[in-house]
Formats: sequence, C-alpha cells, structure tokens
Amino acid sequence: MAGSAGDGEFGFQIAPMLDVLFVLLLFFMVTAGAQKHEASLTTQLPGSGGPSGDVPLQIGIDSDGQVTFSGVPVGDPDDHQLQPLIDRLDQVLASNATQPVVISPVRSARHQRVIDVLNACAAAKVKNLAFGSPAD
Amino acid sequence: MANAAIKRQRKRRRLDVDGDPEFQVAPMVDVLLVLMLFFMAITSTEVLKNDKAVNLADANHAKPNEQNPHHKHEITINVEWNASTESARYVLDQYAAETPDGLASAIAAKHAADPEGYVVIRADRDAEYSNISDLMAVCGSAGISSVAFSVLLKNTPTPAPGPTTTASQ
Repeated sequence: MAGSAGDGEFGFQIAPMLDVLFVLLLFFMVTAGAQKHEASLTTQLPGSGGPSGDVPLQIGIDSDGQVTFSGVPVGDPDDHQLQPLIDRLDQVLASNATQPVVISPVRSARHQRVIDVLNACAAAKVKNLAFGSPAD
Repeated sequence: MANAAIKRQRKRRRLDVDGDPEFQVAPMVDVLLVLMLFFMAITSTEVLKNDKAVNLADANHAKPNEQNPHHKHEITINVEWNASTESARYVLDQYAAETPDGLASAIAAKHAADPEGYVVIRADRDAEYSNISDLMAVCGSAGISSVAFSVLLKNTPTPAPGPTTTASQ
C-alpha cells in the first residue's frame, strides 16, 4: 500500500487483469475449437464455355441417390466414396485427359449426393466439369 | 533538516517498492486494443458470411479455402434447408430470400463491385438439387461463370487433394 497513496499515482491491480485475460484466452480457445474446417469444390456453370469437340460424359443422380454413368447404374446409393465411379472416370480420362463431364441430377436429388459425385470427379482429376440442366 | 530526513526516507521507500519490475499499463492497453480490433475485423469479414444454420455436406477431395488464390473474391451464398416444410431459404450477407430470384439484384451488385468475384454456395446437405440449380441459373444470368461448393473437409487417409476441377472450355 506504500506506493499507492504516497506518490499520487493510482495503483494498478494486476491480478484482476490477469483474470480477465485468462477468461478472454479461454473464450478464444473454445471458439477456435468449435470452428469447422471448410473447403470447396469448384465447377463451371452450364452454358459458360464454348462447345468442345468431345461428346460430354453424362453422370446422372436419381432421387434415391443412385448414380448413373452414361445411363448405367454405378456404385451403391449409400456409398459416399463412390470408388466404382472414380475407377470408371479414371479409365475414360486415361484415353482422353480433357474429356468433358456433365453432371445432371434429377431436381429432387439431395445436395450431399451431388457433392459425393463432385468429390469423385475431383478424386479422378476431371478437368472439364459442368452441370447439365436438371432432369425431372 | 527534518525535511531532508523525510525526503531521504521517502526516497528509500520508493526504491524498495520499485525493487520488483515496473509494469507499464499504457503499452499493454495499446496492445490489447489492437488485438481486439484485429479480432473484430476478422469476425466481420470471415465469420459472419457463414451461416451457422447450414449443415454442410462433407467431402475428402476438396481443396481448403486458404489454398485458393481467388479466396478474397468469394461471394458466399448460404442455402438453408427447412426439413419440416421442405423449403429452402437463400442468404447472402444481410439479404435473405425464399427464392433465388430474390437475391438476383444483390448478386448482380456484388458481381459489378468485383468482376473477379465467384460464387461459393454453402448449401445444406439435405437441400434438393432443384434449389441449387435454380440458384446457379440466377448466378449464370448475373454473368458469374465460376461456382464453388463449400464442404466440410473430412480427414481421411487420402492426402493430396487433386487440382481443382475448374473447367477451361
């Protein structure tokens, strides 16, 4: 108490300040833990590019999640990795690396399923990817 | 004489007090205010764009946002999904609409302000494709050709996310 009254300076309490700082630190640590790591899958919109020579490969998605590859069902509706689709895409891209791929889900397809297919295309390193107008 | 003795005593006392390291309040407050400003700026630009009500789809081959060189140009559109009414709601910054057409003017304004801007769709995993495709149609008519989908990156043994699937037609 000697310093506070004697010299006319106001005393600075470090303990409450440390308390506040620790609470702030805790707050930021908790919010950082709740943060989810987001990423993105990119694509082009239909009609934005000029027509290319190759006939695009059609990938369809049914309302129950069944994926079709040029009209032929591929993979399991509950399989999120879609390894059979990746294998088929790999085969096609091995002969033509710029093969355009068009994804045409039905209007009632779930977004998670569309993302699964996009994810498979990213895994197969498809370079020319676009969405078709939705089939009903 | 007595005055000098008091002075000497006071001097000794102050030396004693100052034996422990001096704590400077002003610079500390400066630093804290700068930190607070920093966090406030980060919050308004990065966090508020993302709608916490959206339950994102997950994928493991997506590219982390920070690796995208055009990261600063994103126009984030949230698509909320109401499971009980089976309807979607579109949110772009402070604008919200029940149909994508309701956001058309906001998207066009964003695109005019930043011609390099591209749309990032943060859609709920249960949303229907028709909601997304209608939104993409609106973006297309606004002159935006590149669209990205936000996903949650699931940690799986497959490392090296491939190059983007951006089409170059």
